[in-house]
Amino acid sequence: MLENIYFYLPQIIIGTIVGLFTSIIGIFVILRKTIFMGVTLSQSITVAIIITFLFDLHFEFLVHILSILLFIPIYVLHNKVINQDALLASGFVFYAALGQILISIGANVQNHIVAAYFGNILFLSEKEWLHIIIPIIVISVLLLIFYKWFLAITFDKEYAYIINLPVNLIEILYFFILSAILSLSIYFMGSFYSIAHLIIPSIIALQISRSMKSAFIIAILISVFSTIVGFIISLIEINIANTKFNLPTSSTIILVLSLNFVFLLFKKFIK
Amino acid sequence: MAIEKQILVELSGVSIGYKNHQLIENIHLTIQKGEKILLLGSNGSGKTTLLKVIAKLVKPLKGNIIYHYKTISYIPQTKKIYDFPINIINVLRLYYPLFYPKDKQDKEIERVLKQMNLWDKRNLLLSECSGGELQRIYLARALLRNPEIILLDEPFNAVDITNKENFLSILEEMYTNLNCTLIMTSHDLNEKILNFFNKKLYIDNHKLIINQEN
Repeated sequence: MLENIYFYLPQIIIGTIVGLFTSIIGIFVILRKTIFMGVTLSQSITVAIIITFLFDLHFEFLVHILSILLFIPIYVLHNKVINQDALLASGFVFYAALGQILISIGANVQNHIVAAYFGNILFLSEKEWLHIIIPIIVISVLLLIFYKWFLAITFDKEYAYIINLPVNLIEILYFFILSAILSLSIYFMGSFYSIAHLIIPSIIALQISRSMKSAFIIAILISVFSTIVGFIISLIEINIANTKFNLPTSSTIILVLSLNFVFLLFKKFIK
Repeated sequence: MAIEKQILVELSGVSIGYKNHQLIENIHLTIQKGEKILLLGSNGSGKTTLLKVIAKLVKPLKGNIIYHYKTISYIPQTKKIYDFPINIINVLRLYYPLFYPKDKQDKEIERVLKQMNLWDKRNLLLSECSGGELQRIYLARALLRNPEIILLDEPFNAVDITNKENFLSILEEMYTNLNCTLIMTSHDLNEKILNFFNKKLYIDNHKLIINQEN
């Protein structure tokens, strides 16, 4: 299967692009200490994607709108309760359970579970992957324009209020970009891949960087490296006791990402 | 004839706190230009909340507040910053308008960092800064806005005695140059600190007691 790598080139490119953008927004998620919120948001997006699978609806903006609608109650409540972690954990298990129930209602349950949680990038049609282009352009432009403000409210939200930055607008924009990137990432690569790319490259990058610019570059490099290596490993046919099989793509990429993390921990440990 | 001072904030019948928990009740206070106000009280008495009400960050539970100021700056309690890989100069750049000319930004930042004796350390990461340096960074950030009021929340928590005295002299210089109003919270009754301020507010048993020197 490895000789067919050129055949899978479009999928590798998509996986790399969505992974790369997920790791960029992951830097903000880590710095804002909203990992749990990101993970819960990813579950609500998974439910939105399952709904589109179930009713055979077109992707486009529907997943995005549905996931925002599903996440609104969590977002509204999280500022009003004392134990935010408990609320987010409840939201996480609620959406995970809802997703599984919805999958079990429809036909072809096994494939839908695999697609929602682990992605189905290898089986995407050419037309489908064109959907990535416009959202990625919009996200890139917004990130470039508002990068400084995202960082300003991440560093000190109260001061941003005091100097009259449009904090609420920036917050909405941030969650819009986060949910847009996660929608794309989960749709193409599954929710586990998205969570891994949201957290691991950025955590490693923030540990070893001396500037925000280098943190973003390192996170991107780790993400791209892990996606390409994981993809290639998953294309190698394994033969054990005359049984031939391939490793699942998203999970292999996650394992490569995790190995990077283990390597960092090991390096810190021996220091 | 007495010179009428410019009023910056007026609080009348204001109560502050959080849902089901009133911290200070029935505050009647006028903050004027050029005052140096020290806000004293025990931990949890409502000092920080009162600062945040003055900064419009927190709404009062009841009462009226009239804000006359245009610019205000807030210097938060100093906490060590571990996870942000950002240096001093880039932190100060964050709070400029999006398309503000970079050369103008750099000139202004150079001016305030020199004023705070931080110019040589401009490339230091925040995680490498001491408590005293972090405070001066926040002061530099405040100076960039030429504020009418500077709010300081427990600035002496993270510094030793020598740094306290240095910090007071920096505050004095800032006060003279900017002709601003300083409002600082503290639970430190050090004589030098007490003498620096001309108006003291005490929070005692949910009441604000005003003690003004003329």
